[in-house]
Amino acid sequence: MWLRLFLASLKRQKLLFFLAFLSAVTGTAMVAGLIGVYFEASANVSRELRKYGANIIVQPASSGYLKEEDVYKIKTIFWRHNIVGINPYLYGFAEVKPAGKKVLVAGTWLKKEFLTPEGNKFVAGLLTLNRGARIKGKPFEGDQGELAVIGSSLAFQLGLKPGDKLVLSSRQKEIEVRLVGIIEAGGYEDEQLFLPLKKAQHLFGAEGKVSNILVSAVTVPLDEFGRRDPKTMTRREFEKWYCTAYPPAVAKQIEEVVCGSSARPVWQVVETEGKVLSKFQLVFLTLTLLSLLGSIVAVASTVMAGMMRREDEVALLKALGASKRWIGRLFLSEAFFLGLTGGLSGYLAGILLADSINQLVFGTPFEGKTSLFLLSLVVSLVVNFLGFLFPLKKALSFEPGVVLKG
Amino acid sequence: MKRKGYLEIIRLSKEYGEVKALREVKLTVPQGQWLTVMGPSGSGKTTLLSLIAGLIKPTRGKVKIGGVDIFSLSDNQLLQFRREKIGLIFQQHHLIPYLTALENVMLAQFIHSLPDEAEAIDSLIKVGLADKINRYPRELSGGEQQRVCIARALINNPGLLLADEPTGNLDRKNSELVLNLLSKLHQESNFTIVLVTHDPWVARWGERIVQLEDGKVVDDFLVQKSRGRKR
Repeated sequence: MWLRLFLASLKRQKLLFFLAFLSAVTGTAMVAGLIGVYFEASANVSRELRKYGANIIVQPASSGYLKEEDVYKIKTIFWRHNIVGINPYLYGFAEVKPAGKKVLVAGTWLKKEFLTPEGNKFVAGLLTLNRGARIKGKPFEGDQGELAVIGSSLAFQLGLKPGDKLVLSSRQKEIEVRLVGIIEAGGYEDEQLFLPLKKAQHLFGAEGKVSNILVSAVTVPLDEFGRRDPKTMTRREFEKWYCTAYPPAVAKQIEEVVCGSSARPVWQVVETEGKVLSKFQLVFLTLTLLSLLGSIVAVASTVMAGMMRREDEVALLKALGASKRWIGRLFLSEAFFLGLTGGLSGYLAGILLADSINQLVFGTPFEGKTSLFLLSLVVSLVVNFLGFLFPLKKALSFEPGVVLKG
Repeated sequence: MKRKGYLEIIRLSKEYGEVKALREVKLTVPQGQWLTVMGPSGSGKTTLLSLIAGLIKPTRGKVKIGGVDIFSLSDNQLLQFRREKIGLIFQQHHLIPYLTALENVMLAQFIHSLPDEAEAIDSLIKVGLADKINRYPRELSGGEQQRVCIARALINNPGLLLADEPTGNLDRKNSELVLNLLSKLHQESNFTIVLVTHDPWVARWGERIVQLEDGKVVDDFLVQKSRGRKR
């Protein structure tokens, strides 16, 4: 009989249910879409910011060098998937002939592909670490070859251009390289001469060594807990801190795999990014909460309008001896049905919305489809229950005697 | 011999703010009696009926049905009491619009305990709607809708039937049909009826008439004419 009653109610009130369903779908889609975008966009925005330079610098703990072989180990830490850029440097001064001037030479990777222990391809190097850098000419790839790239300011000072041949002389060696490009990064890079890492190691007699490593890691904004000194933490607190992608936590993990290193966040970058991310999250959270509120109001007003039309029905049920709980169950089963169907449809619409926003803003598809499914159902059920609750409470307060009198 | 009171109304008053809708009403209705409450608009007829049904609470006084003081019951006990002991018929043939005649009757069974389709069909046959059990209220005439209401009110075998202007929205022909039906069912089952009307023609179907004016009983007498006679 319950099902009969429920189905008859749905069948005979198609328009009302359609409107309530539409409100539920729209609301759920908005909320689910925005929440979906909110979670993915934080990572996306962080990833986007990470295209413009390192946020962690790894240096020798004391004087000396780091081992080149340890550079690859950075992609083995707990937060390895958050490491989006790695670039080792070996610095030294060399005399440029025929100009006869001493310049800062940086042995590095402009673009180097390697396989992580999990077998994934990873592209490291200055050009992936700093997407803002522009090269006129052709960058060298890997870490071998007799090629060089020169910073734009230095090239201007020395009057050099792509195609020129240079002789570089250090205290240890003298090598000949051909200039293949001019780099313009807008920073200290413009004052340097870049050689493939192996070539620079050969020039400076520092085989297998690097001076420092710049790392770009996708991190979460620092909060008070993230800023705490891990030495003052309990074991449980430390585990929580260690397993959160705070910049100092990621740096600590890097320190653990790079022998004799001291890794630290580039605080200026980290703080700025943290502020940008926090504000972005706040804006999205506000939008999401407003959408949630809007959905509840929309469903509640639709249901309320329907309830007004059904106040006779509620009064009659009460007059026939139905308890408030009985009537509540009847109407909440309608809310449950609307919540379920609205949630499923809202989920599909929410995915489309989140996907469109992601494609439009970040150029990437929306990934969190499974997590959004449960979220949509929960949001829709909550919205519908809350939407039904107030009108239902009001309807249950009708005096049957007064209403039935007409 | 004095018949025992099935319905006892003891010094019942109801006030809505300054308005005194009912003033110290006292009545004793024996089991099986058909009592008609008459009076002009605003005399307190519907208020009295709503109080007997327990749909509203009195300002003062008691209503006893079968010896039970209904306002001493908790809300849930009162609901259960109403489900089991009272049948209600309204002027506006209140039916659930999206349920068929049969489903409307079964709804009362469902609220009471468990629906029994065969019994519900039987009750609709008794009120002359055998061929309209699957019709929706909008597909039925006013008289037919009221007959569904009668079937619904009596489906759980209540001891007391309360009817508020049951023919108020019907023409004479349909009114007579409905009243004859009520009369027949009353004779068969001997339940107590309290029927409210402002129409003397309807009032004469009952055994006893109580006249209300300004919330007070101003007259109370047994009907001398034979039941069912047209005025």
